[in-house]
Amino acid sequence: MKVFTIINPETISNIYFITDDNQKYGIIIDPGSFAINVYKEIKGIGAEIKMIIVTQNIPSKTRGIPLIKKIYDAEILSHNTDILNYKSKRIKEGDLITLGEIAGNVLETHLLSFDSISLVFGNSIFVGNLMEAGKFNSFKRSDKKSLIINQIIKKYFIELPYNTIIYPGKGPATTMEIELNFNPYFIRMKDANK
Amino acid sequence: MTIITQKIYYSIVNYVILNNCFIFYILLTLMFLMREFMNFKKCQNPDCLERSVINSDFCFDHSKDKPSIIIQAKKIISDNDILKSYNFSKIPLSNSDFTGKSISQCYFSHCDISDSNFSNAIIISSMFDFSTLTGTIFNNSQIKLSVFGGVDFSTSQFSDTILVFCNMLGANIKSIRFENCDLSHSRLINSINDDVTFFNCNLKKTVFNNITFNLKSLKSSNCDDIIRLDFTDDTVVEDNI
Repeated sequence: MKVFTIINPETISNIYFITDDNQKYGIIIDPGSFAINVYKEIKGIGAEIKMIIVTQNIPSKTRGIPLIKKIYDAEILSHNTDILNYKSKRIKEGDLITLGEIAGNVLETHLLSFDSISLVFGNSIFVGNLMEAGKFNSFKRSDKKSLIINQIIKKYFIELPYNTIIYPGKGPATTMEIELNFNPYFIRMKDANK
Repeated sequence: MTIITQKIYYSIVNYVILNNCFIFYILLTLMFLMREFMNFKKCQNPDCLERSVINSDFCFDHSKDKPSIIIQAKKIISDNDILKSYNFSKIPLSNSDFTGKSISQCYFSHCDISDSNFSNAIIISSMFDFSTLTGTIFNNSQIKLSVFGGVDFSTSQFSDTILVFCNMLGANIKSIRFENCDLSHSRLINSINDDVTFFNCNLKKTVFNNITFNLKSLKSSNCDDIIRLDFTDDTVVEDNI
């Protein structure tokens, strides 16, 4: 399995393309506007998009789906069954996603909205807009959100191996080891567990 | 006199371009759009979670012939101008010369790369987490989307360095002088940044949580464009300084 990161030039956010080792087929995560440069890069990789996974149903992550559907015969997977005007296959907690040798599963990390999910493929976790390196992305300054973040960390992140690579929707990648040591949320959680 | 005028002109032009031109970011990203991330085999030791290092089926800790691996790693670095998808994790590589090299998708996690030279190097999507980079020279290098979490940069040199979209969580940048650098969109949460100076630097959307800018930084860099996170007990407040 190979992971390619492509920057969406419109929103400066990350588009991830997971392919098999031979780069014949792949899954695109949050295709964004699927700008011409993104298409060119995917053509350059050489793999055909067989699957589109949306981690959160917002325009900045889905706008390019109609174009992808015109070019590739790709299935859409998301927690929400309607993505733009397309029917998508609903994926939920614990579901296994397989495409040839690529296999991963779904985590329901409903922090930003009811349909936001994260995906674990091998030793990588794709978290969408859930977090960026060093912080979680929903800080609406309410205790309720803070509580949800704690629950998500406890349920999904604490148990991950320290060398897991975290691929956020925006900004650079990070690892569990870095987050456990320097992300204030994780530090607080560790301190609370002591 | 002419040289000084040229330098001032260059720095002003640089500043204006870096600060105000959103297209610059787009061009940057278009230039380096695709980043294949690393795909390494797991260490053959059944209890180990690490990835195997160069020319070995084991991680460096579980490799039997460590001296040989160190020699091979140094040879790979010296022989190749393009270093792509190599895993050098935990291999001691101090005093290495990476001048002008193109490094992409490489792992240097937990490495000792102190007193090395990365001048004019291009580093993309590489991992340097928890490495020792003390006394290392990064002058004129271009570093993008790389991970420097927990790195010790003390006494390193950064002049005319592009260091964008980098993860520098917890990095030790104490007393470092960044000169004519672009640190936009990089993340320095929980970094050790006492007495750090940013001279003529682009700090647009650079993320800090605990930083006090000195007078020189405030006068010569766009410190008001940073994102400062204020973590309190239960909430996080994001604002510009």
